[in-house]
Amino acid sequence: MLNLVIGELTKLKRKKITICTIIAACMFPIPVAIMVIANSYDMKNIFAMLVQLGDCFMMPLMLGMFAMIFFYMEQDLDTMKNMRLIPVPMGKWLCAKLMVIALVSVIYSVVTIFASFLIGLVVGDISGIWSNFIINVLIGILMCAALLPMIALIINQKNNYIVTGILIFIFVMLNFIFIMSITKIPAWALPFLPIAAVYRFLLPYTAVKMTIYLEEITLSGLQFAGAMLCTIFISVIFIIFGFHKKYSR
Amino acid sequence: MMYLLAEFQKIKRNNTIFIVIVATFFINLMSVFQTNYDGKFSLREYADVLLWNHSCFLYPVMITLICGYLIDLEYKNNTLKNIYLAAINSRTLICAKLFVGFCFILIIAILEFVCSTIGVICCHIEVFGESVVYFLVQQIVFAVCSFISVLPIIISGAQKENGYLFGSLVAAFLEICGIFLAPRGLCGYYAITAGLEILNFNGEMVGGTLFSGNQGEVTLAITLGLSVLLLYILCPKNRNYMLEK
Repeated sequence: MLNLVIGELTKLKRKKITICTIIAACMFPIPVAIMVIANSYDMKNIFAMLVQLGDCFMMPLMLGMFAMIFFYMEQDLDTMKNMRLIPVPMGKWLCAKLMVIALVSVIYSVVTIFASFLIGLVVGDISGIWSNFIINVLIGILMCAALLPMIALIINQKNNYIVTGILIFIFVMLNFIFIMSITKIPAWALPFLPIAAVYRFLLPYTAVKMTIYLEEITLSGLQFAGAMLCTIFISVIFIIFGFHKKYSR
Repeated sequence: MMYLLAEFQKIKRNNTIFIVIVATFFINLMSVFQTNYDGKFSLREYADVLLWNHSCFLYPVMITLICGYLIDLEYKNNTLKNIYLAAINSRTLICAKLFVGFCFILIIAILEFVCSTIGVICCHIEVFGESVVYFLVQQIVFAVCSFISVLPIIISGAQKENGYLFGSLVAAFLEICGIFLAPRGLCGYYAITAGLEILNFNGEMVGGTLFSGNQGEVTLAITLGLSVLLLYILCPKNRNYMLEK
């Protein structure tokens, strides 16, 4: 398994997408830094803005695009036949791919928090950087789970970059609308809006100040666990179905 | 004309039109909810919400994805060599693809008009003096402005295989920046939102004022100039340039 993960990482080394991930992670900290310096904000404001814009908008979008390239790579380069010839167990191969995506999301989180640390140094406030680091890594891992429906879509599509790309964008946008608004999400809609669910569950740790409106929309542990389990369960079924349809001998 | 039709056939293969219809329907639905629909708002208000949603959510990323994909298709299918065999150089190829993308965006704008007209009829929006034809012209003008604003990203992304995916990330980043910049009086100076100023968008709904002035035209003219410059710098008239890369 470890060999497979290392193999996938080696493939990534050849691709420019790894550098693009780091650049994407550094995109939002630049305007955030300008806003923070202009309005003399503190570390809490920096972290809240980076979570809202960077972790809940740019990260899922970037991970979706990354997953698309990553899963379609074997068919684009026509290397699937070689994988079967070796032979690589397809289940393990899928797990290795998912682990690499999780690793990329954690790298993204670390780069974001490092950027917020640099902005904090400029402003002169780096209080709570370690707790922010832990929360951000947690967001990275949860975001990877929240993106499973999109991975299911990627696996079920036949190398259709444009349709998958537009659908990933619509999915992230729909979630982002609920992240930016203070409307309560109905319980039945939570499994379909996993990114917004992650944000609303971690709201007490990421918000600058918990107002009565924010307390109302914050998800309880039970609600969040139920929604995420539902999302993961449905996604895994579709992943297995698509995987057998697409990659079985 | 033949080339244009051939490119449209390539798009048709991937059910792109269906997804675009879904996206336009989704944006219209979102706009109806955003206006806090109570049966009292005017066509002008609805048109403004639609324009804002297009500039901040839909057009920049969608245009980058579609135009970028059209160019990337030749890398993916390994058909670049066939195109060069037909004596077409890389600059002409990218210009042709951009023209096809432009035509496709116009079709999206017309589809958008159809979707929003259905929205207007379904929600019983009263049309006080505003011409429905103006509504259509507004959508087409805005689509053209959005197309010009993302041209440099598309041309830069066309240089590498899958480069358009990173380009669409950049477009997404820029459109989110537009949400913060436009209400602060920078609407006309920022290419993504310059179209809003050209169309005298009412910025009160986003915490600004009426976006009016002529900076928008200047910004878009500069962006267009930059795109032409990028096209000349990044795509020399060497026929095998893209293959060599």
